[in-house]
Amino acid sequence: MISLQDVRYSFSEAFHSLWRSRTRNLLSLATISISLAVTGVFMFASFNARAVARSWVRDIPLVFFLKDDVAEADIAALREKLSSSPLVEQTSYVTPVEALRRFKTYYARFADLASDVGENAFPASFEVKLATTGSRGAMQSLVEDVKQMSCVSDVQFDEAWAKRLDATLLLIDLIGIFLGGVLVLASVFTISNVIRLNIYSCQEEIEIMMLVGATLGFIRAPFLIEGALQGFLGGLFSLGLLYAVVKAFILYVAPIDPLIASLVRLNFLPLMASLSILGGGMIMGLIGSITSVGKVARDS
Amino acid sequence: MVQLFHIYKQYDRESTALSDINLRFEKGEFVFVTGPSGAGKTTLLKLIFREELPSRGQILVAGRNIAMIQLHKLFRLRRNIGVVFQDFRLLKRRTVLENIAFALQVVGCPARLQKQRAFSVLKMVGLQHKMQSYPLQLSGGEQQRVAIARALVNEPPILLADEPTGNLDPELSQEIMRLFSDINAHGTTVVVATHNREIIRSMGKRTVTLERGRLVEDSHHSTEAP
Repeated sequence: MISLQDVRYSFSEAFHSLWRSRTRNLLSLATISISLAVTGVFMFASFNARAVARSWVRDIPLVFFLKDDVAEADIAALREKLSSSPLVEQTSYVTPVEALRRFKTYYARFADLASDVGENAFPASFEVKLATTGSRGAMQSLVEDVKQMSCVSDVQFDEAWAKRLDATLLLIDLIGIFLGGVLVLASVFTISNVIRLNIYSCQEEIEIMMLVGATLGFIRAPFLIEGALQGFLGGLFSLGLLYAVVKAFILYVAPIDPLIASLVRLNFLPLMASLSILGGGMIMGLIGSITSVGKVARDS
Repeated sequence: MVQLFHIYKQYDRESTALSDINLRFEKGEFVFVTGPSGAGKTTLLKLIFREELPSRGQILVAGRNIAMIQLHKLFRLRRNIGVVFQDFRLLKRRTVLENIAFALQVVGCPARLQKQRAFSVLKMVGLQHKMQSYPLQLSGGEQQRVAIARALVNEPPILLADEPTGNLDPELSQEIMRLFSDINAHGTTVVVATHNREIIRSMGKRTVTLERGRLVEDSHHSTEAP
C-alpha cells in the first residue's frame, strides 16, 4: 500500500535528483524536446496541410449530368440522396436552359456555336459542393453510388490532383512517423542511460536503503517519477519550441510573400495533439526509466 | 531464531571465507563471534542478513530459508534485522537525525513520529547534540554510534553488529555494550562480531570463535569443526 508520505518522498527525491544531476538531465531533456519538436513539426505540417486540402476539396468540381427526359420523380430522388449525405454541403440543380445561358456568358466568343446546333445540347445537371469533413474514400463511394442511378448519364469529378494531394499528405505522415519514431527511440535510450547514470551515482544510497528494509518500489519510484518528469518537461519545451517556430513563421516568413500568407492560414496543433505530445513525452520518460530501474535495482 | 547448516562461502577458487559452519542462535540470545582478521566474522553476518548468499548450505531465520526469499520480498527479512556495519554505511547527503529517521520512513512510520523516535535513540547513544551534522562531519566513533542508533531505532528482533566498538574508546565501548545488553534483555537476539577480547570477557556471553573460515570454538556448545 502506497502512503501519501511515500508519494511525497518519491516526488521530492525525483525533483532533488533532477536538480542534483542537472547537467546530465539537461542532455536528456534537450534530446526529448528536439525529438518531440521534430515529431510535432510533422504533426503540425500534416494537420495544416490537411486543413488546406480540406478547404480545397470544396472547390473540386463535382457535377452529375442527367440523361435527357428524366422524370421529375427521379430528379427529386437524386436531390434527396445528395442533400441527405453528410458529405454534401450544397447542391444546385442546373437546367439545360441555365447551362446554355452560362455557356453563352462564359464563352461569349462561341455563343453562335450553341445557336448553330439549334436544339439545346446542354444536359441538366446537379452541381455539388462537397463538405470539408468527408474522407476521400467516402467521397469516392458517394460518386460511385450516385453514378449507378439510372437518371445519371455522366459524372465530372476531377480527382486526379486530389489523389496526388492525398499521396503527398500520406508521405508527410510516413516521414513524420518514421523520423519521429527514430527520434523517440533515441530519446527513450537517452533517458534510460541518464537515469541509469543517476542510479549509479546513488548506488551506495540504494544499497543502504535496501539494507535497512526499503521495498524495491520505494527505491524505484523516485527514478520512475524522474523519468516521467523529464519526458513531461521535454514535451512542454518541445511545444514551446514549436509554438515559437510557428509564430516566427507567421510574423517573419509569411509577410515576405502574400501568396504564402493567402495559401497557408497556419493553426497551432489542436489541443488533443498538444496533449498527446505531453503524454507521449511522459510515457517515453517512464519507459526509459523502467528499463534502467529494473536492472540496476537487481544489481544492488 | 537463526540456524546455519553446513555453510560454505567461497569468493574464488583459492580463498574460502567460510567452511562447513553449523550454528544456532536462539531467540533472545547474546552471542559474540570472534576471531582474527580474515576469520570470516563479517562474512558470517553478511550471510545472515542476506547481503550475500552462501556457496553451499542453508540458513534459516525464524524458520525460513533466506536463500529462497525473492528480491522483492527481501525487505521483510531486512526489517527484522538491525545491522551495525563495520563501515557504518550512512547516507552522506542526510543529517544524523535524518539517517536514523530514514530507517523509520522506509518501514512506513508516520512522519510526525520519525524524528521523535530518532531523537530518543540518538539520545541513547549520546549524540543528540550532533543531530544536525552530516556523517562526514563526525569522527569514526560518532559515525559508529549513529549506525548503532539506526540499527536500534526499529527495535528489530535480531541485531547484528560488526565490530561496533572498533572506533570507540574503552569507556564508550562498555557503554555501547551495556546498551546492547539492555536491548537483549528486552528479547532481541544480539550477535556481535568483534576481536576485542576485553569486551567479550567483561560481558561473559556465549562466544563463537572462527579461524580461517572454520568454527573452532563455541563457548556454550561443543566445537563442530577441528
